[in-house]
Amino acid sequence: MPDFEPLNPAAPATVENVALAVAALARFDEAEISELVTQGRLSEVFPFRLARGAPSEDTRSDADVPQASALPLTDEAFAKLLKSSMRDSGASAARVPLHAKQSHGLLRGVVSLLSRDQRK
Amino acid sequence: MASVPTQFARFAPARRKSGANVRIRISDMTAADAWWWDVNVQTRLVLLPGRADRLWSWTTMLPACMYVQLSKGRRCRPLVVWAYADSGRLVRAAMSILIERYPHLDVRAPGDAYFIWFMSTATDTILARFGVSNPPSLGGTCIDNTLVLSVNDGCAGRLGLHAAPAGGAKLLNYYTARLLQLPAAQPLPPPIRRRNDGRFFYADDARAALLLSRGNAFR
Repeated sequence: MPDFEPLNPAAPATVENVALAVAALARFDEAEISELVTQGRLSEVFPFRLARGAPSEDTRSDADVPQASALPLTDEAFAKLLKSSMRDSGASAARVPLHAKQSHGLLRGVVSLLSRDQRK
Repeated sequence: MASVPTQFARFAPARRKSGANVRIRISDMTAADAWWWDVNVQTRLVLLPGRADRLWSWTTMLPACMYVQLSKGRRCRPLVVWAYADSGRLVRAAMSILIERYPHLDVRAPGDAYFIWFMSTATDTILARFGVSNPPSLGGTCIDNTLVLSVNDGCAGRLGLHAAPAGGAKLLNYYTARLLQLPAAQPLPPPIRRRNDGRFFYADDARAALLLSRGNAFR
């Protein structure tokens, strides 16, 4: 599992708990999730946040900020986006426990199942 | 899909100097961006009453949004708008999470659109702390980003969004000036179960084409 910090001590960031939280959140429609977020209550359903890596600089150079593609992302590009949005690049790979590596494979499988042609 | 892809804007109108344009940059959001925003921007937005985004947490929203849309067979596209500080370096100025190929809000014209699920812009005061003395217009840039992705993905630029009630009349007026407002009596497409509270906005093909053409001067 990408490095997550649990926001509820009773719900450690295991693959199972994160999956259950996603399933619980998926019962809400997008407007309902927006309302949860606006009320500051998203963590009641999804009690995790990204693990923190090294602090990012306040300012960056042009070379350090790649311009986003204005085209729909390929499956490969989306998989890279998903990875970079789930793990701070400053986080140490050595901190990733074995079950997390297994879940990375699961994640790649999910993304490949949702190739552009197969999505809704 | 457009024969020649439409590009993201490289400039935006300056917020404070009429007629002036300032450089911007658009990037895909990373975990580091989410953390930086929560620590440096969100801690100040929470102090501003009337902001719909004052209680947001991007370090929770980003993974939650990405995963929940995947579970529903859709993808999110999280983006960052960067402004240039006086030093010539880039500063994060706006964050947004879009949903790709979401049902168009106007059920009279069914089809796919892009949905602006979350959008947050830093204030001039916050940006000034990081050396941005001439901030760009950010809300319009986020809307333009969505139009560009929508048109390049074969959705003709169509987009939709919901103006959070916490944003009050000010947020409503902002979007009324730019987009079409869905009549409160009109039903919403099936993924949305809540009642139409009159705060849903959209761009149909014609409005999208108009907005995109206005944005071409900044690409």
